[in-house]
Formats: sequence, structure tokens, C-alpha cells
Amino acid sequence: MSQPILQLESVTVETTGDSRAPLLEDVSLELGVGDVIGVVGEAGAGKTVLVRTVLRLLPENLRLARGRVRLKGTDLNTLGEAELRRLRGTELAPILPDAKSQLNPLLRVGDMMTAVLRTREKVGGKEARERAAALLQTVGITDPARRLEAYPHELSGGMAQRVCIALALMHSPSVIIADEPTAGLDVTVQRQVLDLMAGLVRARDAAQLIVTRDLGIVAHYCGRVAVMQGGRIVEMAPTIQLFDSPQHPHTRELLKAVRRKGVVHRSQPVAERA
Amino acid sequence: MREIDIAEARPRSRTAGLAAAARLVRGARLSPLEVVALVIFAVILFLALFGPRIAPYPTETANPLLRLLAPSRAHLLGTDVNGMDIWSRLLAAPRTDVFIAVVATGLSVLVGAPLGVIAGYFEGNRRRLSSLVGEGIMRLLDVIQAFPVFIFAMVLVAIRGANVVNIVAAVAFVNMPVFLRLVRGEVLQLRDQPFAEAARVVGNSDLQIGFKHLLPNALPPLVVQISVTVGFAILLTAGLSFVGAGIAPPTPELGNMISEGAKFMITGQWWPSLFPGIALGIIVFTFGVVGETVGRLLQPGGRAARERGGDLNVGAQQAVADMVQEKRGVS
Amino acid sequence: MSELLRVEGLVKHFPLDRHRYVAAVNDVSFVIGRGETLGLVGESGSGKTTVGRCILRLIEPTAGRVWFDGRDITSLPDEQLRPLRHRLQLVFQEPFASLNPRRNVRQTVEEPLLLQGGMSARQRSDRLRETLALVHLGDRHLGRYPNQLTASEQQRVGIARAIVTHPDLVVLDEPTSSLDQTVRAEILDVLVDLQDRLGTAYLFISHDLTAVESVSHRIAIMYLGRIVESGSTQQIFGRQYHPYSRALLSAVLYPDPRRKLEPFTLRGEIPSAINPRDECALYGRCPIGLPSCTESAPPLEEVEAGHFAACFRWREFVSGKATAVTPPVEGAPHPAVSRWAGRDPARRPGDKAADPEWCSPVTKQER
Repeated sequence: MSQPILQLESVTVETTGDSRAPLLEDVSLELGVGDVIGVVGEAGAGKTVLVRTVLRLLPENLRLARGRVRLKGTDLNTLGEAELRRLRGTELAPILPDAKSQLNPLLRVGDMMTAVLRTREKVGGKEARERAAALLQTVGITDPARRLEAYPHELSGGMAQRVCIALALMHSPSVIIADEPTAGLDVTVQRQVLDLMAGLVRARDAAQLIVTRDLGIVAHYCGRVAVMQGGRIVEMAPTIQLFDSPQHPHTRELLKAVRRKGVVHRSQPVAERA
Repeated sequence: MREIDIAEARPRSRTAGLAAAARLVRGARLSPLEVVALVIFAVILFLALFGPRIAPYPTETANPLLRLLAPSRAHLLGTDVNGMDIWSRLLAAPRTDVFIAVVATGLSVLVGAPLGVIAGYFEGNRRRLSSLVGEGIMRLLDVIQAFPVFIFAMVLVAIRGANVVNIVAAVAFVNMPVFLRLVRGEVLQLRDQPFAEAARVVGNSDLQIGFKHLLPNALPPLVVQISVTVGFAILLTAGLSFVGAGIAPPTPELGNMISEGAKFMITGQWWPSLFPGIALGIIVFTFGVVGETVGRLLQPGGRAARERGGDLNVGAQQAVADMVQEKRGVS
Repeated sequence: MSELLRVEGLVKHFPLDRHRYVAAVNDVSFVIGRGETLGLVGESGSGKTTVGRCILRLIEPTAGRVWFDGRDITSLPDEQLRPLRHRLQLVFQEPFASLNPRRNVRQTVEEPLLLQGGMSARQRSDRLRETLALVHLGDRHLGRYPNQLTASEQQRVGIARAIVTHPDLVVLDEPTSSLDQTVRAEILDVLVDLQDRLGTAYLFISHDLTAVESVSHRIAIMYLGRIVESGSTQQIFGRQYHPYSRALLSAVLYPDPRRKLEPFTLRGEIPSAINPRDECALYGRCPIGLPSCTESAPPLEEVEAGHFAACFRWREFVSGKATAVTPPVEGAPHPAVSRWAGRDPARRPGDKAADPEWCSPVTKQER
């Protein structure tokens, strides 16, 4: 494989202050072109902190204690705030859960999208609009011209998530960081959104990090899987290998939980059998 | 963890008690201001109970020979127009003011809170009658609140006569709507919580849900309000006395002390009214701060929630908190 | 089967203003037998939660009847309903929010017994311990408050509160959807185990098909306020007679990378339920919809013994003959288009799906 796009080298994140509790410990990851890596874990495993670290959006009370996050070889920690903001919009594309709350409720979808294009790429109003419409079309929104006029509250959850994806993809990012991209969406919409992102990654030679607690998403949409527990990656393997022969006890525990056998085979209600 | 602190804070010996108090202070994360307010609060309560006994001079005996003496070693804060020691009277005054304010506020809570539960819980109730009761309470309240509080209390006292019972009644009456509205607001918000629905499912009646499940959850803001209101009730009591519609001299009371001293301000004798005025301000302020503090500590999980802070979204906050807990080995 | 709950023609409309209303539930009927679990499945907006609430009389149905153990409880006044409450319970979606933050585990779980009455303190305390043991909680939890419990413990307290009176029916309203996978498995195991011991019937309301599959005897699938298909779990998961059910099942992501993903066939998203017309609610998203599908709402037909589906074209659908039907041609919109026009053109029947390349799932080879 050529040079990795995103590289995490033994990243450790601690709380500031006296306690110094490590929330991420020695996490290393590599994403190459076309890679889709899934990060799974339960609440408190450190998934969100990982996403925040990569995006350098850690809250005040957390700090990167050791390690490096490299994007195409550049250490993100050496960059200034302005530089970073540019990167977050272009190279690094975050897709976060609860899309609706990410959109400014006072701006129309079109205004949001064209504003980005006009400030970042200095294109004219008309061209920006056309490109925005084309982008909406790409993310599976029909009648994009009308959608551009919509306010966020007029969108359904799935539609809002698509708009967020469109915003994230505006500059052909090389890495998509998707944190629970389908949390709160219905299963049928979830399928559509995941299919869409997978297609886009393939078509644009990007890489994707999907952070989720849903092993179903990981099984079907990721090439490799990292299992997190207590701030560490406890196991990392190609998807099929991980599901076939899990090595770490926590991985086995997670798999056991989703493979439970229920009453399907017990066809009659209790009252009938008694 | 706070619960543990409090449990441990039960003093066994004096040193253990002090250590426990220190732990409690640390555990509750009191700010310096809050500590000061709590200390003053304790002093006020102490004075309300024992003030007249520790006063160095008689508090209700006039002595024409000592009229309007400036502050001195013998009379720390000077003497008033009747020759009574101001420091002694200041020590004795909280008994009157705090007593009236506390009893009156207690009365307003006892009437206002239940009415608030009913008004809040039944507002828009599917049963027409219940809904009307809720509506009725609120409209009545509008009428009461339409009167200016102070004038209303003055009129009440003027009609019924200025004795302690009437002053208590007047102060209680004007403050009652505060508690009614507060509790109603809380209940309105709480009644849509799943736990209120859960209470219905297990078979609670409307009134049981309101009083057993919702009212206790309205407690933190209620405690804050009680404390603030006691402060203002003291102000109101003093105000009534100031305009002559309250406690009459020679009973030591902040309002009438200020009022009596006020006319000597222009002739240069500032001490008879300044010191009671400062005392009044400190008392009202202290009750406000103490209320806030207690309300904060009463909030279940409130302290932990604030500790997390940061700009993470709620889900992430929860996750971080979970992790911190895990690391500390707390189940 | 001995019948425990019968719901007939349940309708719930929430008025928005004088002319508009949300039709949350439209003519829903089903039966639950003693000791049986009926899984009620649907996406958000399908009305499944509203059905549960109507049964418990937390909201008043607009029309229809609910019989519980042979008794019509639809219009029982509160005073007569309350004594029945201990036989008809509910477990909530959000474990924390459904617990009173100021009451500890003992107070919360003991309350239904106190309200039911007729038990001595001794009996209550025995029942309390026995119930907590069933949900794997112990004496050490008795004095804890909700914020001192983990999510799993909170939900188990919620379940303990629901089953402490040994009810005949428990409505489980998305009991696992806010929980982690391992916790979810734990809770489902507890529920199945309880049913075995106590013979409780469940109405399991969820959008999580894998959870529903693992606990339900029978399943009813709802779409826009109506049941579109119902049958035994084996029937439903074996072969779907309604295009919506098939799409819903094909969207499930099983945690098994070797299981092939089926292509997803529905377009757009669930439309709004404001003033719906009397027609097949799936029309416009349906891959086999015909203009004749808009003439009336399709009734539930028995397609196999005990298996019902509400589709005019189920025969063509299962035989595979109907899949080739193209959606209505663009430019010749069906009468409903004007109705959509003001709302959501994405759901307009004539639209082609976006560039199909974006919509195809990744296949194994491409990884």
C-alpha cells in the first residue's frame, strides 16, 4: 500500500487536572486509500474521544498527552487553528450523529452550502449554487433545486444526514470520519445512507473511519475492524477474520451478545406449552 | 458520592466532626462566597434563637440620659433616640424579623405548593372539571398578583391591626403566589417525563402522581425560592414597620430601628439607621446565596453533571463520564 | 389459544388545527394470547408506540375497542381502570428518564405492590427480593437511586417494577434501543426468562428487527399507522408478502459479514401522516405500485394460515411477477402528486432514484 492517508501513532489522551485519567491509551491506526475501517465499542470505550482527537476537537478538560495524528504525513498537532479549520472542511470530513442539530436552523440548506463554496473557493454565486445542487443530487436528494431553499427543520432526519454528508463531501475529502452516522435513523434510511457513503468513498479514492456500536454496520461496510474497550484498541483484524475467529475476550463477548439465540425456536407461547 | 460524604460527616468526636465538616465542604465544592454566606447564615439563626440573651444592654428599656451617643467603646454602634444600645438591639432584632419571615414563608409554601401541584397537574387535563380547577386557581392568582405587593400588605395590616399574627398573615398572603407559580411551572414540565407516566401505569391516581412523584422533584428550585423569599419577607416585614404598619417600638426590629433613626440622618447622627440598614442588606443577601447553594446540593447528580463541563455534546459527555467512572473503578 | 388482549379497529388521530390531524394509528386490530409475545415492528412515525399507549390508556383512542381478559377497557373510568393496572404494565424506552430520580430502587419496585394492596409488609418484602433476583439485582441495590445505577441496572429496575405484581401483559416500548449491544442481550435474556417463569404476555414494540426476531412468537409490521403484514415469526422472516416488509427485512444489517446484503428496494422516506388519503400508504415508494393501488387502502388478507398481508398485488409479488412493474412514468403524474407537491418532491412517484452507482452496497470482493 502507498503512503497512508490518516495515521494515528500511539495516541494517548488524558483528562487535564489532578486525576489524569487516560481516556485513550496508545491507540494506533492507519487508513490507506479506499480503506474503510470500523471502530466498535460500547459506551465509554473511547470512540467519541477518538473521533474528537482526530478532528482536534477535544474539549477543554481533555488533552493529547502523547502520540501523533498524521494526515498525509502532516502532524495535525503542529498546525495552527486557521490551518486546521481549512483541513477540517477539505481533507478531513466529519459526519456526526444527530445531523439536524449540526445544521444552523436559521440558514437555508443552499445558503449554508454556497457560503462554504464562496468563502473557500471564491466561486461566484451562480456557480456555487449549481455545484451545491449537483452535490445534493449526488447524495440521493431528488429535486435539489427545491431542497436548497429548505430550512433544516423542514428536513427529515435522513434528509438532514444527507445534507451533512453533502457538506462534508464538498471538497472531495480524503478521509471521512463518520461517528455513528446513522444513530437515530430508521433501518431503511440507515441502509440508504450507508450505501451512499460507501459508494462515495469508492468513487473518490477516499478513506473512511466508521465509529459505531453496531456490529451489523461494521460487518457489511468495513474492510477492517478495531474493537475498543476502556480507551484501548483491544483487537484489530480484517472483518471476516474478526467475525470468524475473534481473539480478544471482549470481542467474543460483543459477538456473543449479538448472536444470542432467542425464542424463535420455541414456537409456542408459554401458556400453550404448560 | 455526596451522599457518602454526608453520611460520613456525622461527627463522633470534636476533631472527627471538624474533619468531617472539612470533607463535607470539599465534597460539596463550596465557593468561598458560599462558605461565608453559610457562616453568616448560622450566625443569623443563632441570633434569632439567642440574640436577646447575649445582648450586653437591655434591649427595650429607654434611658433618656444616653440619647444619640456616637459609637464608642461602651456603645459599639452608638445609642438611639431613646438611649438604647444599638448593638444590643441589632443582636435582638433578628428574632422578630426572622421569626415573622420564616413563619410567614412557611405558611405561603404550605398553601402555595399544593395549589401549584394541582394547578400544574390538572392544567389541560382530559377531565373537564379538573381542568377547570387548574384554570380557576391561575385566574385567582392573577387577581391577587395584580395588586402591588407592598401596598396590599399595608392595607391588610391597616384593616386588621398591626399585631404579629396579622403581619405574618399579610406577608404569607403576598408571597403565596410566588410558590404557587413556581411549583406549577415545575410540575407542568415534570408531568411529561416518562417517570410520571410510569407512576400512572403502576396505578397511582392523579393526586398521588402530583404529590408523591412530582412535588419531591420540584424540591431544589423550591428550596432556593424559600430561602430567597425568606430574605424578601424580612425586607417586607421591616418595610411595613418602617412605614408604621408593622412591629412598633420598643420591640427591637430592623424596620422600626431604621425608621426611627432616619430623621436624625440630616442632623448628623447617622448610626441609628445605618447599622440596621447594613444588617438588613446582609441578611437578605445571605438567604439568597444559601438558597442557591442548598438547591444546587439537592439536585440529584447535579454536581457530577457540572463537573464534566467542556463543550462535548451530551452523548459524548456521558461517554466521558462513564469512562472516568470506569477508570476510578466505580461501578 | 386463550385470548388475553384483543384490539379491534383502533384509531388515534392527533388534531393539529381545525382542518388537519395526524393519523397516528388507522384501524389496527390484533390479538395477544396468554404467555405470548407479539412483536410490533415499524419505523419512527409508524404509530407503533401510539398503539401501546392506547392499550394502556395513557392516551385515549379516537375509535376502536380494547378488550383485556374479556373486559372492554376502552372507556373504563379512571377509578375502575386503576385496580386493573397491576395486571397491565409498561417498560419504557429510556431507562433513566422512566425512573423517579428521588426514589430508590426499593421505593420504585415496591410501589406497585403497595398500590395493589392486600399484601403484608413481609409478603411485599419477599416478593421484592424475589423479583429483583429475577432481573439479577440484589439487596445491595435496594437503597440506590437511579443516578447510581448503570444503564443496564436502570432498565432492569424498570422491568422489575413492571413485573413485580405478576401482570398478565407487559407492553415493552423499545426496551433495548437505547442500550449497548451486550446490555441489550442481557435485557432480552431477562425478558425471555421471565416469560418462561411467570407466563407473562408481551407486546414488544421495537424498530430493532433482530431483537424482535429473537423474542417474538408472532410479529406485526406497521407502516404509517396500519398493520401491513402479520404472522408467526417464522412466517414473517421466511417469506414476506408485502413489499414494505421485504424492504424492511432486507435493510437489517445482521452482524455476519458472510451474509449477503439484499438490494434495497424502497425509494425515499416515510411520508407524513397528516390527513392521509384512503389509499395504499406505500404507493409512491413501492416498487410494484400501480395507479389502481390509490383507489382504497388494501385490507389485510390471509395469505397463508395465520399469515396476513395488506397488499393488492401480493400474489404477483410473491410469485416474482410483479417486480418488473415500472413506476408511473414521469410527466404523467398520478392524482396524488399535487398533494405531494407542497411537501416533499423526493417522494413523488415519478422520480427516478439518484444515480444508481451511489446506491449499490459494497460487495465482498471490492473490499
